[in-house]
Amino acid sequence: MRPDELMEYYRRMNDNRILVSFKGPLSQAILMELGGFVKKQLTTNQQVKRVFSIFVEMTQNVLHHSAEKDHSTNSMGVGVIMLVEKPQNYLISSGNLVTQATSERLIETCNYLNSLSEEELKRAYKTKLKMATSRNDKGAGVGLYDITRKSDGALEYLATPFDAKHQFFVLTAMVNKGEKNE
Amino acid sequence: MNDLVIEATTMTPRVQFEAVSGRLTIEGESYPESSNVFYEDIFNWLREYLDADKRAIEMHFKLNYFNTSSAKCILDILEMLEKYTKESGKVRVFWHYYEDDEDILQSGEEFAEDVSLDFTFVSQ
Repeated sequence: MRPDELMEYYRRMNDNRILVSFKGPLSQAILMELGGFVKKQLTTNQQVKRVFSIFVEMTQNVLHHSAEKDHSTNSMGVGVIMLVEKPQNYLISSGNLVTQATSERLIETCNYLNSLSEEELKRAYKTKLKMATSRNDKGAGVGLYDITRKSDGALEYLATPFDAKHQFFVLTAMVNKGEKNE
Repeated sequence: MNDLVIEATTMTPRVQFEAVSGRLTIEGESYPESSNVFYEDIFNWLREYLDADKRAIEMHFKLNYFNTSSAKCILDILEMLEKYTKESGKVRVFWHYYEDDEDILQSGEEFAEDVSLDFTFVSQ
């Protein structure tokens, strides 16, 4: 990237109200820093917590499950995470490499979660949590369920071929801005 | 048996399990990278404690935020306590939440639906 392109990049981020953006190995230390910043950027309480919690689940998904690993940092997953402010809502997105098989499984899960009513989603979440094993050091596998429950509207995803073996998987969740002091 | 005390960090809660009083508290935020690693000491302590004397237990959760892998660990703790009550142990669970925090209240209510334990919800 040329120096003038960097300014363009910066300007575009400003214009698009990108509050947080990080590309690289998503370590827990990075999560701590960004997470603290996310909390400060937002205003109302319940909304802050929902955005924060989606942000944490997405970051930890990338950290544990990205097909691209950073070998200098204990094989942390590499990806991009972003928080964007829109007039009516916040968008939280993650993007990372996944295998073809994972991509298909993720799409299936997203479609399934999007098809559920709130009550069905609650039951599915609880069943998944019961079945999960805490002995799994990659988390409980419940992250997407929780992200769906905490977001307003459907999960959006886009899987694009990246190279011969991988898809670039983008996941976006939305949280409506509430009234202040709600 | 010694108390179990773990100080809070940004991503892990303060833990204070008092052996003599049977008052067990987990307080703060919980989103460690590997919840099973963080909660292992808690599971181990609790397992030993529940096997020892049959003391009455007050389990206090005062959590502001926890991620899904911590939720699984909380459910595991509750299931251990549920088993203890079936073996005639006495357990009361206190779920603390901030008045305006519907999500934390709701997660407590959902845990209460899933285990047969005496839950009290405490607004702060």
